[in-house]
Amino acid sequence: MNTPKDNPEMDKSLLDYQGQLSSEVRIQLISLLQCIALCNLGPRNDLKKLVGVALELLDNAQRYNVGSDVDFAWHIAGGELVVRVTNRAIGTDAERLLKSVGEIARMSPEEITKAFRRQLTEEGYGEKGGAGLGMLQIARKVGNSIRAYAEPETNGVYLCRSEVSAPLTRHRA
Amino acid sequence: METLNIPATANTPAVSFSSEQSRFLVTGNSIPENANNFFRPIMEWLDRNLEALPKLCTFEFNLPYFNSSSLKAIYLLLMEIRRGEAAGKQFHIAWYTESGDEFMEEAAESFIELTNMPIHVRTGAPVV
Repeated sequence: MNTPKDNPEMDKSLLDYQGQLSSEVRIQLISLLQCIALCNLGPRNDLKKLVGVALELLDNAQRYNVGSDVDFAWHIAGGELVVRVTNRAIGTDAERLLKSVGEIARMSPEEITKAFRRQLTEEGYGEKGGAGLGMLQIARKVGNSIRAYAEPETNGVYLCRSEVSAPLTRHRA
Repeated sequence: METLNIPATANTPAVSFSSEQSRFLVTGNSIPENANNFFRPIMEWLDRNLEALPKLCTFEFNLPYFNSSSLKAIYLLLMEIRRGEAAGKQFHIAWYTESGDEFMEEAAESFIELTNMPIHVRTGAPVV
């Protein structure tokens, strides 16, 4: 029988969290993810990059979430690490998420790099402290496999889901 | 020169300047929700003190983890350092990485390319 250490890419749920997302929770989740990644994926040169995907999605969720709980899932499925974050956001933030992910999906790697550079060097911070770099950084680091969904609920609030699949078939240390 | 000594927290790095060692040090994880709020006073300190800094000052960065909000702040900090170099300073910038850590190594490569500055990549951690 294969153990997780023998075959670190077997499908499995590594972490599911549902609850409030404060700064403290986010920090503790990142520490926990580093430990989980090392134990389940083994030593890899890209471990921090994989945890970094979760960090960016959690940053966004905390920054734009309105009021209620956040869902966070970190799974391995089909040889990929799947990171999924669900939160609620106001309409303008939900629209910006969909627009940003839609634009990135149509970009080539070169265009992503160019957009990243432009955003970094020419644009300022948003009202809520975001640099507008998170999704571009994810696409640069682990590939352009970002999906986003937003469904309207009540009172102008949208249920937003961001999902990233990162291949696990490389970067063994 | 004004002192600069900001202790590390769970989500922000320690930032200090030692006039005895002519050394500006940023060390620790940088994952605040709003990096602009954290780094703005540091940028302002650098702006106020840039001319008074020793000509051969060293800037050392050891950031095991940082979010993209911090990435922008670090870029702006490096550009401020570049402004000092343009004014005749001979600053030395060191970027520390852990051995085989793609996250930190690629960050160094990106900053070298983006700032067009000689950033010296060192494996290990700075002496604190």
